[in-house]
Amino acid sequence: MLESIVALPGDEIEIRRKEGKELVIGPGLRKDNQNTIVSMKCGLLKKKENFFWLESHQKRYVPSRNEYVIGIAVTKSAETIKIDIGSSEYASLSFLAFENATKRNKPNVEIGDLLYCRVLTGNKDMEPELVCIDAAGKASGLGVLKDGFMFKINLELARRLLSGSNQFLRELSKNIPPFEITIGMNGRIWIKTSSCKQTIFLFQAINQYSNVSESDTENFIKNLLKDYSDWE
Amino acid sequence: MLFDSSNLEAELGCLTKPDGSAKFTINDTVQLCGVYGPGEVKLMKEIAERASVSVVYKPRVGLNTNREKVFEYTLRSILDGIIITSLHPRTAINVIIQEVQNDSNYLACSLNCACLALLDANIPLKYTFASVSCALIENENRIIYFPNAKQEKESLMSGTFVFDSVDKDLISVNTSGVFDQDQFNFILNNARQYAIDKIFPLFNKLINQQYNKN
Repeated sequence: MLESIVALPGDEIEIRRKEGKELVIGPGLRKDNQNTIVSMKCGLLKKKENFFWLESHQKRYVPSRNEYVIGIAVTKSAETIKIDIGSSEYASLSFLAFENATKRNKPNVEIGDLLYCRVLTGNKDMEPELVCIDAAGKASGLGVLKDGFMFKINLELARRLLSGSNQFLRELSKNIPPFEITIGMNGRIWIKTSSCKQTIFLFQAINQYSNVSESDTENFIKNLLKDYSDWE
Repeated sequence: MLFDSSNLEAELGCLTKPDGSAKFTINDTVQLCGVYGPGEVKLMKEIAERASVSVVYKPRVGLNTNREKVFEYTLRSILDGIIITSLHPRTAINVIIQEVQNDSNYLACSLNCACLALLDANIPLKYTFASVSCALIENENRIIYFPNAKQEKESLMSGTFVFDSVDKDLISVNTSGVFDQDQFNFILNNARQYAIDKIFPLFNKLINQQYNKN
């Protein structure tokens, strides 16, 4: 793996191309006029098969298609709701993009509500568009998030928590009372627990986790749970 | 011939609120920079095909005068060329520089600080850039890097140079004093060498620290 290569803007990334395989470059990389691949942000160079991208610590969210985000309803009009998803402009969410919604039967969304949605169009030239249903027209977890507590983390931590190989939440949930958690790719986390104490505990645990490496996760959780039993 | 005792220090991500921030210290000059973006844009400043870059300079005391306005304009024109603005149309990238301490060299300090803050905010850039200011003392024919106000006054010429990280080419230059072509080339080449030896490695070190911590 290319784990430890840290690229800075303008660095030329030399990738040996395999015959017959197309190269795909992702966030942080671009092709310049000479057909070489150049980085335009700083970050760790990552690779998966023929995909290359830079993993960087960004705080500002830039919407892209099929990402799941947590938004806040800002304004309502007849057909759509404007949602703040932390990007440069508000995203629009149609009232019809909810499960079982019709022209007459509109979903109950108030200004200030939290919504868990999927980005339908995330194009730099267009206003982002959100939906709260999947391809089959089912909500499957999307929609208004009631009660609970929302806080912000950096985007890199959100991606880490969501990645399939990450054990942090899995291990944590085995050892403490059940809770609900929703992580948006835009760096917002919503948690709902049965007690205030647990909310504070989770909030602190997740914030502290941003400084913990993947290999130290196990130890970190052990220490956390020790603390947690002291709290009780 | 070369004389250098400058103290350079830098820190990344020292503010929590902005999308990217940095602090840069050159001797007794300290600047803080915060970058917001790509964020919401005012209707007046909206550009259909690219991001609008704005720079605000906050002096330590008092209000902005013409001096700061000219300075903001200089900075903006440099940054606008380096940021790949076409990637984020209809957005704003705001760079705010707060003067904490000022003992000359503020242009070089602000530029280095802005570069680090832009890197921290992960704004797409063509390359990184480093700025060096130096003064030429005539009768000894030596260069002082990051001169203080007194040294600057006594010097034959002084200037601030900005270099890019790829070809190490000159991006911008700001000089004062009387000099000829040879003297300019002499000071330019030394400034470039200084940027390669001291400032770019400092940036690299900081970014590496940031990403290898995890």
